Amino acid sequence: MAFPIEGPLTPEVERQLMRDLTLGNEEAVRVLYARFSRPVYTLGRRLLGTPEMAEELTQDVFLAAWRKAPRFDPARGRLSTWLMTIAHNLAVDRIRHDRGTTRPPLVLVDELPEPLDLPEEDEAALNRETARRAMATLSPAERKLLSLAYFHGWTAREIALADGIPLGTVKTRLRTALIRLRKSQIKDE
Amino acid sequence: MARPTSPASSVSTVACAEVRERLDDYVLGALLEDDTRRLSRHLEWCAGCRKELAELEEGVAAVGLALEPIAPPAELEAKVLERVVEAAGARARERRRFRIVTTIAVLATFFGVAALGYAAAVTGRLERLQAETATAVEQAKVLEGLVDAFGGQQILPARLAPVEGRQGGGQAVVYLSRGESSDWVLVIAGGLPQGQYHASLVHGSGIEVPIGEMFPNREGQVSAYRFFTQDLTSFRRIVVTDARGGVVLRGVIQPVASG
Repeated sequence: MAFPIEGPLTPEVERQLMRDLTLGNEEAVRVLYARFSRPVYTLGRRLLGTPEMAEELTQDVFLAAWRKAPRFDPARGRLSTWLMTIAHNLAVDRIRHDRGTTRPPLVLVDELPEPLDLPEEDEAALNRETARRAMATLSPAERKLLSLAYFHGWTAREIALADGIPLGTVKTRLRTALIRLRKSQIKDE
Repeated sequence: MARPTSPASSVSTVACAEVRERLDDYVLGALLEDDTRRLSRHLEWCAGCRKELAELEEGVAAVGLALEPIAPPAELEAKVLERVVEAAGARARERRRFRIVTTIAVLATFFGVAALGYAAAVTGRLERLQAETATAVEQAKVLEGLVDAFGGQQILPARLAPVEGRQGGGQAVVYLSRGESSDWVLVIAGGLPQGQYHASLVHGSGIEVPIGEMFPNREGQVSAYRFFTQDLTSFRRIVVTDARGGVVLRGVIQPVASG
């Protein structure tokens, strides 16, 4: 089966792509890489800092995707969500493992650039635009909490202790932020 | 801002209420390993919690997708491709090898019986000879089944008979993996006097390649098997020699008629 390099993937194509990935099919790896390497590598650079660590993370993410491919179910969520979740989890694991060692300063959500006036044509750019617009719907407090949790791997309890906010408030804000991000994305589709 | 110390979790079992309470930490990868494992187990079977998780995951993915993109270096694609294809190949080889080892275990049991039957037959016991005949019929069926099961690969048997003045007998089987570098040979013999024996493959050119050393058990049975990374297609015979190099058993490797 030939996989499209551009345009949205249907659940059936995503499922087949994962089946072929499980078998180590080169085309499946290339298509997956062409579509998702950039956001995964970017996440690595933002969370881990160096190009070397981002490269290593990208390799680990695609290897993990191959290992977990039989468990991917398009009915449970999109392939991009699944891959970015794997990428974020692996990056946070690395941050925790390396905690204490020197790392470059991390980028906060607040430092994200504003939406571009002329969005690029490809699907990744559209995803990015949608995500940025969703980010803009968050309150400053929600953005700050999300930043600590997402980029630093802090737990809700740790954020509550550090900021002197009740744990329940932190959890509510975090969850509200995530749900709002999701809803904004759906609205944009 | 200094990161405060996280208190240890004391959760041993989880219910939906607790899972949902902790899903935000779970989805952000902020739980300890044990807690992550416990929640994952719950999420495997709980569709309700899984639905909630999926919603939060989309939110988390949105943060990553919103980042200003940085192009990965051009050579990264080849590295990713190499690692995934290599890992997939290794897994396939491991599965094949597991299947082969299982087959060897089956064959070892099977040919062990055949070799004992042969040894009994050559000592003149008629009833044993009849048993051996029945075993030979079964053997043909099993081999045919294996040939089918292994598809493009080939299994070649060799009946080991004693040279003049020697006793014993046995069976060998050569497995050709057809270019997958997983050829192997199994030799089982019976009715041998105590001592040290060597089983070898003999190439068409006359060169001998060792399969392994063998020492008879109390019933006079011996066995040896070996994996080869080289192609065994051009090997024609199998010989079993004693400690002084004298040939005791020998047999010709023959194709199996599967039709």
